[in-house]
Amino acid sequence: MTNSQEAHKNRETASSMRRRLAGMMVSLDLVILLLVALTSGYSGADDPLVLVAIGDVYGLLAAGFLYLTLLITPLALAFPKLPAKETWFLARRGLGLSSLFFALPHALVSFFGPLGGFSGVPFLDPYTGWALALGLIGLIILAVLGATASDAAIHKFGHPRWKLLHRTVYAAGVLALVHLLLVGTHYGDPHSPWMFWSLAAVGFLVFLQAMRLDQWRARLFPKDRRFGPASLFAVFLLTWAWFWTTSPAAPESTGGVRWVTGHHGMALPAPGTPEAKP
Amino acid sequence: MKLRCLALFLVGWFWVTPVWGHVVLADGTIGVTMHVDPDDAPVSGKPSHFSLWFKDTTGHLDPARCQGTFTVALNDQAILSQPLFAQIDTGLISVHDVTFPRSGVYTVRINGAPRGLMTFQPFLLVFSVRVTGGEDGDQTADPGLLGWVADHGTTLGLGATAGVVILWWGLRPRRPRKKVP
Repeated sequence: MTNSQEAHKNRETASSMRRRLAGMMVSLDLVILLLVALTSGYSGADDPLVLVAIGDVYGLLAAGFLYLTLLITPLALAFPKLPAKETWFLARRGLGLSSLFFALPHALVSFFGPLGGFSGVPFLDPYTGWALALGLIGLIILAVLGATASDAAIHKFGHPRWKLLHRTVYAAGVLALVHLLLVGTHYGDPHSPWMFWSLAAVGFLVFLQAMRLDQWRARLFPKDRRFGPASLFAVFLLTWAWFWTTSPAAPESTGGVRWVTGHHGMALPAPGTPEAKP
Repeated sequence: MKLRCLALFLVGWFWVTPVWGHVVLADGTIGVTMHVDPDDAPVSGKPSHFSLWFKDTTGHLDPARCQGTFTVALNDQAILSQPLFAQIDTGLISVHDVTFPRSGVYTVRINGAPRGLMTFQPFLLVFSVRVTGGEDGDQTADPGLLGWVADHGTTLGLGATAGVVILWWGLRPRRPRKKVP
């Protein structure tokens, strides 16, 4: 067998494996999606808080899969001996599709459920409105990437252009993060465990990407050290996030409802404070 | 490979934990964005903090001139009724602390109307809040994870079976293709 034939065979095997992993993951996603919906205890349209929970679960799953999609390449570059590196690379398509798979029901359930659909838009508070707009842009990016996540699309666009298009996944990641920080009241309180662990996970990814950037710079400028300015900046950001999330809570904390102070610039009494009569 | 995919599935399942969000309710030109602290999931016997942010698209809603109530009822029996804008210096924000006595589906009514001259549209917003059982003093206490698993045993069993079949289908060894002579 010639080298060209062998390379062709390897490409075919990788392509088949990628398709199989993607099919398997999307099928598992469907099972998880149905399990969440069927076990949520949802009983009718006048049960908005259950819909909030369902929408948030789908949203978190979408964010989690997007995070894994973004993590694989920098992780494999930072740890060249990562076990089953090739398989992880081939799983990226399935992970990205899984993110889209959960982002769609997240958007539909949250928008047409607790947010009241199009008729609810004029009444949205500013933070939720911004979060909605950014989330929608992120969803459109994911949908475009999902629609072009195939070997046929690579042939059609050509590999360089396809790769450039799929780099917008980083923009989707940033939009998803901002969306999460804006709309998830869990993330309104910097001292919540959700905020701490999410920032730790994002910080790890930022650090790996910074190392990647420094490696790229080091190839251009061989005298540069491996841990260059990007990594140092990432470490600075991580340290700041650490102090932010672990510093003592302010006494006027509003318990994570950020639009209360964000929009009106005033603090409300903490839960339990007796209310004055008008 | 199988272990890795199983780990991936478990990680996905681990993420299935309720978090918070907002609910928008509207009546005509007046709407409210509501959040219930903590977790948008009230528990009986523990105080729940309702935060309501009002918006009137005509801009006429004035808390100082609004006479309204925030009422919580269970099976048509009111358990709590508070003035809607008890703190008039907080703008269009209304906060209420409610301790639900026991688990069940409660009805929350938010109504308001102008005092004196009709400067804004009267409004009525009604929605249900499902309260789960707390640990202390509630006979209908939340049965916990085991109770939840027992309640949804069939669904979870079918889901787990489907998951195993999908994993087998995706990870089963493939026979090498026969060469065409």
